[in-house]
Amino acid sequence: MGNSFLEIASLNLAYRQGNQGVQILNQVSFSLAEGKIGVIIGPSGCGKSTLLNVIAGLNTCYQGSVLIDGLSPREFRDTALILQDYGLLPWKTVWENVTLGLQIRKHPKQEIREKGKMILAKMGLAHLAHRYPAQLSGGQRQRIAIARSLVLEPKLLLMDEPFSSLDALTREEMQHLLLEIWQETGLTILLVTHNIEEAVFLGQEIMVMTNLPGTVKEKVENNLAVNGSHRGTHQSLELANYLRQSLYGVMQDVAANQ
Amino acid sequence: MMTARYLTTGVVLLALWWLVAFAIDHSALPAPHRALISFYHQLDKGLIVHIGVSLYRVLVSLALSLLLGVPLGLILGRNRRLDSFLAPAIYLTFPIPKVVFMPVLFVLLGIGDLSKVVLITLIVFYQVLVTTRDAARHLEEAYVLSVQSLGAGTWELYAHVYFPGCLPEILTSLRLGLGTAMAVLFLTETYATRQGIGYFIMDALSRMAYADMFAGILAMGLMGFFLYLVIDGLEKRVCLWKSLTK
Ligand SMILES: Nc1ncnc2c1ncn2[C@@H]1O[C@H](COP(=O)(O)OP(=O)(O)OP(=O)(O)O)[C@@H](O)[C@H]1O
Ligand SMILES: [Mg+2]
Repeated sequence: MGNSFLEIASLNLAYRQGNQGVQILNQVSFSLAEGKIGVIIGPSGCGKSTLLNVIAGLNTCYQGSVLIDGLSPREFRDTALILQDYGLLPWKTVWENVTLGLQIRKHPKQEIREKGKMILAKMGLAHLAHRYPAQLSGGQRQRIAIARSLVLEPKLLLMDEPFSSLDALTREEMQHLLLEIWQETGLTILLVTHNIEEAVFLGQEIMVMTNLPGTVKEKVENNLAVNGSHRGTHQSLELANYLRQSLYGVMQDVAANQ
Repeated sequence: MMTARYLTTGVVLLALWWLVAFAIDHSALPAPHRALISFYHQLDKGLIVHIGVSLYRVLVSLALSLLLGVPLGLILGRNRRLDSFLAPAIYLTFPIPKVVFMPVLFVLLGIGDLSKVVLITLIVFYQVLVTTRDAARHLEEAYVLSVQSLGAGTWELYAHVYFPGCLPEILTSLRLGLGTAMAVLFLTETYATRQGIGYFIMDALSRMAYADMFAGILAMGLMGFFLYLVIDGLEKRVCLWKSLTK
């Protein structure tokens, strides 16, 4: 061990509803090694977004331990979070959105300009710099959300269902783009998805979550997901089927409990 | 294009005015050309000063309303605790027609600009405050989270999310507030003052100089129209994104 970058142990989280608490996360434990892509799949409403918010340091009302490189989420500053619906500010242009993080972190003007230009060019967005998010396609918006995070040169990238609202082709294109970025930067990525094929394609470690209160029921190692060329192969279909069974199991447990 | 449409509308309004004046045929409603001629002559004879004074009172009041109403509205909209503490007070005092405090303000603050500005500000401030607070309350939480995840503290949230996100509603409240402000301005200027368009109109009335009176009414109308154009232009420029989002 020792080299696990993200280490979550016995994480519990409850939301207050009226005067009683609702348990959302229950004894969540898993770890992710540095430079790996981890994927979380689980039924809707099982606390996946909540879990990411905790890791991003946005929600501190939890019990248990969450450590990133040995630090708490609030102390570890090199996390970037891409929200379910991108979280781009509609009142800022593409350029302003992409450089917002640098501006907030008070980087020098010259540096902001250079880094902003570089990331836009790299993501093929340079010609859109003066547009507003409302003037862009879903794929372009997703690229901008990624650019906005990458420009901060994070060590941990958290993505909440990043490609779920894209059409199938754009989604595959974005998955490849993400793999390229990952190979280039050596980032650690933790991604939430509903899509089993996406989990198999991207996730070296796949965490299956149960229904509310959410917990990680199973962690599946996936040695296929390194080269980006295993899409549709026999082995990946087998793994997908396995995950599907596992998720069905989760659903049936719930049905049985009700 | 737009200017052409405004001009046409202006001409139509003048024509209507002329028709009504012709039909009523009473000295209290002079024909538009007489009002315009009087307007032109009166400008030199002091009307311009009255316009300046009125404009000053309205602009200062609007600026004060924004300066007080916007920050307070944003803070209340984003702080549940503070809001639930102050909300009842706002809820109870909002529907009170604040113009009734005019006599009190005259007594306490004198009959100079101060009491007038305070009264207009008091009224417009409430509109700005309530609109801004509601807008801030209903901002999408995703914007807050996403900017927080970029490392923003409270101050950055106000600068990059709360304020710009509420700006369209703030400007709308300002546009509505302008109408109220002009009405209250007129009211305050009809008492115990010798300056402002309101005074000019009432003075002309007492002299039964109806053409002059309408010169004053024209001045009031033009001032309102001009301010409206300024706010409208501001809104179009600042809130370009809003017209794209729908
Ligand atoms: N602020 C809150 N207060 C109370 N309950 C909340 C709050 N935010 C989320 N919840 C509840 O917590 C549970 C988990 O929400 P979360 O958004 O983490 O689920 P999710 O797994 O991301 O769902 P989805 O797949 O639909 O995005 C849900 O049942 C939701 O209703
Ligand atoms: Mg979610």
